[in-house]
Amino acid sequence: MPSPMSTEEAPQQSPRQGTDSLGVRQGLQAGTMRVVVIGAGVIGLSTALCIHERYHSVLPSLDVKIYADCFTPLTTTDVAAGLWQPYLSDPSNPQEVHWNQQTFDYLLSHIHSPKAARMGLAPVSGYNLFHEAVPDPFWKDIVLGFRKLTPRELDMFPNYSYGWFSTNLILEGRTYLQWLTERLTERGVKFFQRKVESFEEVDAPWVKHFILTHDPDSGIYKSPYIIPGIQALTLGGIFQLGNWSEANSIQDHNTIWEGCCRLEPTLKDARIVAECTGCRPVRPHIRLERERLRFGSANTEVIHNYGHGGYGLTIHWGCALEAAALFGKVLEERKLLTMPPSHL
Amino acid sequence: MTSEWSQTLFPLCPMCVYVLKEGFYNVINSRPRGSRICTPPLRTAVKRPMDAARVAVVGAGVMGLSTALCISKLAPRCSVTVIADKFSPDTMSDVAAGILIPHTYPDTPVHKQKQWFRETFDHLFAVANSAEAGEAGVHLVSGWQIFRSIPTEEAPFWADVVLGFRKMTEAELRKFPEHASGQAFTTLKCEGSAYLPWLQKRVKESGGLMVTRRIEDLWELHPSFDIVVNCSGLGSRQLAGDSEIFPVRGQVLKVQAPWVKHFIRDGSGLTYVYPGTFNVTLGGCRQKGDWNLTPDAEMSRDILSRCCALEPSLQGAWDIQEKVGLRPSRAGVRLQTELLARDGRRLPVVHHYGHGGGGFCMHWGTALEATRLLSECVQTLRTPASKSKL
Repeated sequence: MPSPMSTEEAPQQSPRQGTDSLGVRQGLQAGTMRVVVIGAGVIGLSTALCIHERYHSVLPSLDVKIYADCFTPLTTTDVAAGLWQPYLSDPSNPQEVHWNQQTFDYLLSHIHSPKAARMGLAPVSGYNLFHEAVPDPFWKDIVLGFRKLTPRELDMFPNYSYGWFSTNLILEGRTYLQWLTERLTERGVKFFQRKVESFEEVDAPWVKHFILTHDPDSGIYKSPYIIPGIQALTLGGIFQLGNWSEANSIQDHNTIWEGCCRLEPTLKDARIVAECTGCRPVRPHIRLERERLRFGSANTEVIHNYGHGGYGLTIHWGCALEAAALFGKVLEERKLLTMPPSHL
Repeated sequence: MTSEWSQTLFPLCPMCVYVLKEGFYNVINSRPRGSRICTPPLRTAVKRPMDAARVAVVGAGVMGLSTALCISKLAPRCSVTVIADKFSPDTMSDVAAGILIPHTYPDTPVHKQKQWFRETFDHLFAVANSAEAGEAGVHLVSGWQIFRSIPTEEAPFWADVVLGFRKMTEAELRKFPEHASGQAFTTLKCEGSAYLPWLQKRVKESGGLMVTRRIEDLWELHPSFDIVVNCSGLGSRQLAGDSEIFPVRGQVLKVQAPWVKHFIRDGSGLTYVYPGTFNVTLGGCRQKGDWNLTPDAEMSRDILSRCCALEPSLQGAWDIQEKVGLRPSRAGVRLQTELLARDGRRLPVVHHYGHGGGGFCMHWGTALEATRLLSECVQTLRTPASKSKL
């Protein structure tokens, strides 16, 4: 165990004693806890904020740093349209249902605040379209006003015969990351740069609803979708497992454009303002668990929180709460907590 | 558009010269200086088959233009000229948010209002789903109408015309802590600043003409025109001698708040948030008998405060512009034919005005009805037997 040091800011530790995901290193002094969060997308920043909000008052010397190879506007989160909606099928890990609900409730509680727009947050209603009847999704009672589409509404979409209408939320990745960055900076969290989805953004301010189409043969998000953001409209429909390329592809551009114009003919008047590609961090289910690593004689706790695929924004806060709870357990085991953490 | 006209159109005398220019008609006044000022008839050199009825539509708001379009498409062998002192963006229709949530007219039977609303909704729904939607300024919008108390009627007459009408859930109502109940539905928004120019374009494509001119008396249109369609709104106080039409002043703020994707309307109709293509309209007020077109600063503050109470994120709105419109209000929409007679002259007039705050909601339905009335007039004019009655 390293010897205790003064209360001044400790020098940066070498990577050998560094960490993975959320690194928790043995405190240098009773009550000191240094945390490094790796990744500055929505998962990294929200986990950092969640931990700091909950433990800073009980652990005043809590020191949280964020390490990432890229920051907003260059992260995968920045590429996301930001529609709150989980995948259609039940998650393989039932805890994910709970985390999704927690995230929606958390975001909904901010809707009535004047700062909602500055968070990139707004309610948005819209349509999920199918070629045939499908069972209701597990999240139907989480979103607001979930119902089936009426025949007149289905007339608007000649290629589809069944669908849902609901009021969801938009949480725009880029704006939310900026907001999280501001909150973390206010709290004294420092960011360090240490060293990866295809879609188009168009200017079409008359489109007020999201439209997601689903094709069971293709798979999730391989069918055209339209998601209104705060300033621009996102058109998408690309989900290519195993493709690491972040370069824009002409073929994908055409797939998206033709598919979305068929779905929403008014797009012919829209101006394309951006074209981006991102790599969703896909995994069969999210990895959210502790792992103890040994480097020589040092013990390092790692809390993993990755693999959120195409529903990171949708589930981020529930996962951040879980990661914070795991962090709390670490503190308890190391007898660093003198009082229970505040529950915000 | 109208700039080709406004500078060159003068009151006419028999000595006036007509010049044909690229499909538009300029009128040059060649009266000698010092001659008596008269109010001669307005003449147009319209190319038409011998028996085409010459129709003048007075007013270029949503009523005038939509009626002109219906006539040019549906009424057999008519030529249409729209005459108004103001065209978009200077009409009352340009101030209106254009949301399709009907008002009620006490003197009009409910089944009629429902029919007009349905016809208007169906027409705009087709536009909204077509490639023309962006240019026409018509789009779908979902949202909530909320009430501080539980309303007496379960559902309004138009509930099955809009899409997906239902009561709000408890979870949805939590967004509005001061309101006890509400209705959620999807309707249409039709923005005057885009819709009017789009209508004008389509009227012109059908051969219709636009003329900028202030008409002081409907007889100015005789004998150049066979039938007048009066869509002059509040102008009918003077043009039709109608004292039953009066202004209900409305003030709105048009703001930038692009994150607002839903409409919110307080059941009283006094406070509302209507997101559109280019801005969000915040309102409003209803001041009966008030003709003042100047925005009132205190009213603007009050509107912003009431709307922020419904949608707090509006505190972040920017580029706030104040607008005032006078709703051309009447107990019932006036849709009727009147045969004006003076000194042996006859002039049939189809009146089509008085929609108050419900103009956009009803415009297509009432325009269709005005067109039917006009077609009857045309029929009457063409029937030799009844010519003697005129």
